Amino acid sequence: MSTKRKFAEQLRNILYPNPTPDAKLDLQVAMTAVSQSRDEYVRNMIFQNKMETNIVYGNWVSSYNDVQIKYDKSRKEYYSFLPVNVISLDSDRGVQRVFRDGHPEDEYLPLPRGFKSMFSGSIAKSLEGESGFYLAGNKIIYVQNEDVDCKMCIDVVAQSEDIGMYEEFPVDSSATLQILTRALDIYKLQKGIPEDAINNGISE
Amino acid sequence: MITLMEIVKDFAIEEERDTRHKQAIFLHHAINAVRDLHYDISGVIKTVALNVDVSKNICNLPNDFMREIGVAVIDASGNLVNLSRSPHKIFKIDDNCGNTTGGVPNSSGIDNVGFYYNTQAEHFRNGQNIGNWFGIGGQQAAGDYTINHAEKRIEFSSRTSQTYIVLKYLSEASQVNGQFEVHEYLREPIKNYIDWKDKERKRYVSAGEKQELHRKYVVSKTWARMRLSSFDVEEAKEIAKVNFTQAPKF
Repeated sequence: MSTKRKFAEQLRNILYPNPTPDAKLDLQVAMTAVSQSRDEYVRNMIFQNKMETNIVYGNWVSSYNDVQIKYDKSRKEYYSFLPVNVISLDSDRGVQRVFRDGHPEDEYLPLPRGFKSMFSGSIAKSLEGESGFYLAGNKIIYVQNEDVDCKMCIDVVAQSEDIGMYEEFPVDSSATLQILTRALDIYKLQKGIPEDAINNGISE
Repeated sequence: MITLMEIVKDFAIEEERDTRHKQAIFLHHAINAVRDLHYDISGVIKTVALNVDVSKNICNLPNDFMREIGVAVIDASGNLVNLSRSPHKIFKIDDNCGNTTGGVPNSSGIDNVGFYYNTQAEHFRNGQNIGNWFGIGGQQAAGDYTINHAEKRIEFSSRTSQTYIVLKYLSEASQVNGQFEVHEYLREPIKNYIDWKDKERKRYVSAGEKQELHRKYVVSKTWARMRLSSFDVEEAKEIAKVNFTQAPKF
């Protein structure tokens, strides 16, 4: 299983083969660089592929189960917090699939944010009896009433920042080199700085 | 029959979409396609019997009413007798007490065959009756009516004393259990309509491609019309047997 930490360690090893704890590029920074690099790569790749296909390759998708449904009394709407923030894509494709636990065949329809007002005079508002949701920040809002006891399953193209260092880091292995190269580009200027070989509290 | 959502999913698969994004917008286009096709080729004429509010001489229109084909009453022999449409009639007015009254002076009488008639067609000038308006009234019909679209009702003349009428009308495209169901032949035209409408307002799509998409829709619509109106040899023979006289066919 590839994790963000593994990528970060690889990046650090390339830049600083023998690092000390006071090295300029610590693991946290390396992980941030890997995260940013991956997000940029995913987003660019999806938009480049759009001319040929609308499919987002499954390698980039993270799955989350047992997501709770809540009710907002003031807005009178049911919603769920996303387990992670998602990459912003066209048609809010950052949230790939939403369905009730155990019912993957009945996926909810992703809707535009202004659905309630835009479709208020249209017969399409009923969605032919199907359920729908739209993305609003770190939440998905359901346009119909939901049972708060039900659990939801959500597939997303997650922002790398929100993926834990020991969690599965969804990266296609064929893209690993490009992602690392991009991350290296961010810190390649530092490569000119002498390696921090002595642990003396100074980043030489 | 096939549901509209199945056609939308079919279209999404052909577009190589692996999620359901944009399907709500495709559904919106598909519903408009159904309407467009309904007006031209797939609309079914409904026939319903409606009760007449005898005290007001009006009858409420069905919710899915679009355009009437005919309004008739049933005579003693069980045959339909068409009422005539009177486009000149002034709509009735609902007063503050909820009573519906005629909007014009309207004195009624009973003619020798028992029908009520009105004298609305009479032409007064400077207080003098100078005969009837040319072209109004005088027809040999069991009564006349007018459609008040604003109030969603049929208004009858006072000489129509029927308790219920038979209305033939073109209905709105209807839903079954909250879903549109359309004929299998309409699958291609609806998909082509979605494709055309989805790209019609996109700047990056060339004008030529937009025209091509529109043409594809029209062609598939024509094919659907041909398929829906096709008939076999036996039906043709039956039609040929119907009339051997030189009397005009209506």
